[in-house]
Amino acid sequence: MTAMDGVPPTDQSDLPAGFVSRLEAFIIDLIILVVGSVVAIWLIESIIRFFAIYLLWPNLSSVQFSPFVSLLIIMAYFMYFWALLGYTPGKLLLGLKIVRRDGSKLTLGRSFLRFIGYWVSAVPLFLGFIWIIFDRKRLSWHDRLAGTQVIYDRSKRLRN
Amino acid sequence: MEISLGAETSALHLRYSLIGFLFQAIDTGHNTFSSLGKASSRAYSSLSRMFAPLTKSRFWRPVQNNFDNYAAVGEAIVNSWINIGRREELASRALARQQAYEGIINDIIDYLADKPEVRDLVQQQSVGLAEEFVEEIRDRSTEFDSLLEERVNRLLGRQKNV
Repeated sequence: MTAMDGVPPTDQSDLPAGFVSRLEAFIIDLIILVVGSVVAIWLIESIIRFFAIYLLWPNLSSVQFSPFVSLLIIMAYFMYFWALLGYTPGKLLLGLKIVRRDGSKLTLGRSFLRFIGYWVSAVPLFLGFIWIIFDRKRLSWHDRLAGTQVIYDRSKRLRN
Repeated sequence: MEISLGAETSALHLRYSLIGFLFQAIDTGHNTFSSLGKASSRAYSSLSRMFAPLTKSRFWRPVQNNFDNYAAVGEAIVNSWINIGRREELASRALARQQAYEGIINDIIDYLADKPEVRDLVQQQSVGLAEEFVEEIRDRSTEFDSLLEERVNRLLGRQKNV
């Protein structure tokens, strides 16, 4: 018998998603981003070597540009997926979706605001993320800042 | 008994005749060597009886010793050949067995790959398994969400969130 045996399975379509699901989705996204960043930096470094760009800028190395490349990739990844699809690969796997409070899709500007909100949530020891557990509407600080919410998207579910 | 399977070319006939010859040659060779062995054994016993006064004499002893030495060397060489043959045959058998297994496995894979029903079934099973796995993770995560909030609410003495 598991700890969850007492919890009846309910159809929670379009209800705000909880902390555990969102955390798992975030970890999956992080893994994808880490792999993606490593590949991208390796690719850029290979291009620099191939075209001998280091002859023009002898001090240019991956140590200098990798933080910017990583930040750019992270930003592009989240903003692209949020605005275009409404979910990142991690959220898709967990059957979650990001929408505005009225249920409409995010714009690029709102995605950018939400991305800035990530840092606001992360700086005070990730309190903005942990806030999901205590918030009655399961909203994080970045959700509140961007006027968004993460919901369970049952249309992505495979089992009825 | 004659076996005929469709049109056979003269090249095929030649191949079959060579195979047949090899099979028959083994039996014929075995019989011939067996007869030769028996004949030489009889000849040896007759000759040894005939030359017994000479071979058992004192003058013959150095010749006998040399012969024994050569025979020992020859026996050692033959023994080494037997060992090599035994080892090589085992290795060849293992190799042949491995190739036969690989051939069978490849044939089975080819057969399965050629059958669209089997291919679809395998594909369906794989997709179904992955879907089940993802759904299980989603369901468990949703349950954990509720469980965690229940605990927090109980701790804070609050009503259910959503």
